[in-house]
Amino acid sequence: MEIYPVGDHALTISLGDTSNIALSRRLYALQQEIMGFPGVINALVGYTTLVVEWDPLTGNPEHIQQKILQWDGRVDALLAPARHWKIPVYYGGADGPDLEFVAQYHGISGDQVVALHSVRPYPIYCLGFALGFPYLGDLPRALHTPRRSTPRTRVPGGSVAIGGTQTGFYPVETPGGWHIIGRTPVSFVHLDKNPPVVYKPGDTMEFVPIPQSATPLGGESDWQQ
Amino acid sequence: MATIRVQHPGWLTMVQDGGRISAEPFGASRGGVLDFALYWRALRLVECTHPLSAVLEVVSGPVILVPSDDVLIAVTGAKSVRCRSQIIPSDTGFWAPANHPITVDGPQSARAYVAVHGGFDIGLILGGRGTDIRNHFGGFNGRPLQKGDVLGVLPSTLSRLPHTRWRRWNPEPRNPLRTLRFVWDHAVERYFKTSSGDFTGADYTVEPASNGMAIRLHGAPLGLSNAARYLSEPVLPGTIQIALDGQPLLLLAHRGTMGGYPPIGHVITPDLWHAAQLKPGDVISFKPIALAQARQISQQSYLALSTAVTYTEPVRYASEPSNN
Repeated sequence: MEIYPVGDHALTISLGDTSNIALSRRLYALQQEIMGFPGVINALVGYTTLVVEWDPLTGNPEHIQQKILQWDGRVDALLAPARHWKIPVYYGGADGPDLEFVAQYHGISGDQVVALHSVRPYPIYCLGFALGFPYLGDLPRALHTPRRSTPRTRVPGGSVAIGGTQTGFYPVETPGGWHIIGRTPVSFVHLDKNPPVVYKPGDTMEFVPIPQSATPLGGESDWQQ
Repeated sequence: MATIRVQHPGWLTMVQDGGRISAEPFGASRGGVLDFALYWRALRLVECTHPLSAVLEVVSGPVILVPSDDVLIAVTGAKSVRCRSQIIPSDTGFWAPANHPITVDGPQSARAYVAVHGGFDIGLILGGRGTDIRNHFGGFNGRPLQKGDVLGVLPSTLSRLPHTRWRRWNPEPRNPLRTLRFVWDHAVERYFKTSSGDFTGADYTVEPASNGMAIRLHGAPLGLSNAARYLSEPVLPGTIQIALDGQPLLLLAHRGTMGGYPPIGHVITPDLWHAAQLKPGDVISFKPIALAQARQISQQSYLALSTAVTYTEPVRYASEPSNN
C-alpha cells in the first residue's frame, strides 16, 4: 500500500499497478471501511487507487492515514458477496446507431459485433463519469474502436457503448463520445433510492442481446444473479 | 408559502447548493456552486447557513425576480441590485417588498449568488439540491431557470432582520486573482519531462470553452512523457490536468469523478473558489506551495467564512441616476 497527498484535504491510496477484479473488490472494501472514518466525506474507487477526501475543518490527515495503515485487509468478511449482473440489450437499429460503424471499422458484420460484445462477462472496475457509469474491463481486442471525433451532446439513458479499449453503458442521459451500439430498456439507477446504484466495483456485468419485439421487461431484480 | 417568480432569467441562472458529495462514490459529480465563499456569504447574510441550502447562481445579468411576499434576500458578487428605483449595494441582506421586481445586474466577475431567508423550496435529489445540467436532474426540474418559473420560499423560524436595516458583511476585499497556489502531484516526474519552471513560470489565458466542469487554459504547451500509459484515476475539484496537447485543465465542482489526463498539481481550496470568478481572456499563473502551508491556508479560509462578522446598518438607498 502506498499513500500520497492530493491537494490540501485528500490523499490517494495505491494498492497495485494493474487493474483486476480482485483488486477492484479490495478497493471497494477499503472504500466502505474508510467512509466510516471520522471526518472523511468522500472516497472514490479508481482502477488501482482510492482517493479519500476529508472535511478540512474536522478531518485529521495524520489520524486518517494512521487508520488506513491499520486496515486489516479483510475483504469478504464485511461485504455482501460480489454479484453478476445481466444487462438486456437491444443491439443496433435506432437504439444502436453506431453498430454499423463499429462493424465496418473492423470489417466484420453487425451480428459479429453483437456476438463478440455479449460473449463474456466484464469486470466492473469502478464507477465514474456519470451516475452509475461502470468502467468495465476486458473488452475483446477485436472491438477496440477509437472514440468519435465529435462527442454527441446528448446520449439517451440506457445506451450501451464502446470507446477506445473500453465498454460500458450510460445509465442517465449525458453527453458522450463513445460509439453507441445498443440500449438497455431496464433502468439500473434510481435517483430516489439509497443506494441509487446497486452494482459496485468487483461485481461482473454481462450484456444479453434481446430481440426488438421482446415484451416489456420487469425491474432490475429480474436481471441479476 | 411565499414564492419568487422569474421575470427574466438572464443567460444562465441555476439552482445550486454546497454539492451532492455523498453521491460521488456512485459515479455522480458533486456539482453545486463554484464560488463557495460567495455562496456562504450570501447564506450568512440571510441567516440561513446549511451546507445544502439552495441559492441561485447567476452567470450573466440582468436577472429579474419578483417575490410574492416581503422576503429577506441577499445577493453577493453582483455589480449591483436594484429594487423600486433604488440601488442596493451587492453583498447586502435586505428586505425586498412584495410584488416589486428585484434586478440583479449581473456578476462583478463571472458568478453572483442570490439567497433568500428560509431557503428556496427545492427537494433533495441524490443528497443535493443543485442542478446537474449535464445529466438533467436536480435543482429546478433539472434545468436552468426560465422566464415564468416560480420558486417556493420555505417559511422561516429564526428571528428576522428589521425591515429598516441592512445586513452587511465585514468587508473582506478580494483582489482580482492573478496567481493560483497549488501543491505538486506526487507523480509529477513520471508524466512530465519539462522542468517544473516551465509550468510555474508561465502565463496561461482562460479559454472561452471553460465551463462548470473545468477552466481550460492556454499557454506554452508542456511536454508529457508516458502520458499514453496513464490510467484514468479519480480526480477532485482543484486538480490541474495536462491534456495531450500540453495545455492545462483546472477541474471545477462539476467535473466527472474520473480523469483521463495526468495531473500535475492541485490548486488549494480557497484559490479554487476564487478561480470560479475567472473569465475568458483572463491571464493567470501557478505558484507551488508546501503541503503543510496549503492545509493551513485552507483551514483558515473555511474558519474565516464561518466566523466572519456580519453587522446591520440603517437602510441608505442611493437612487438611480435620473438620466438612466
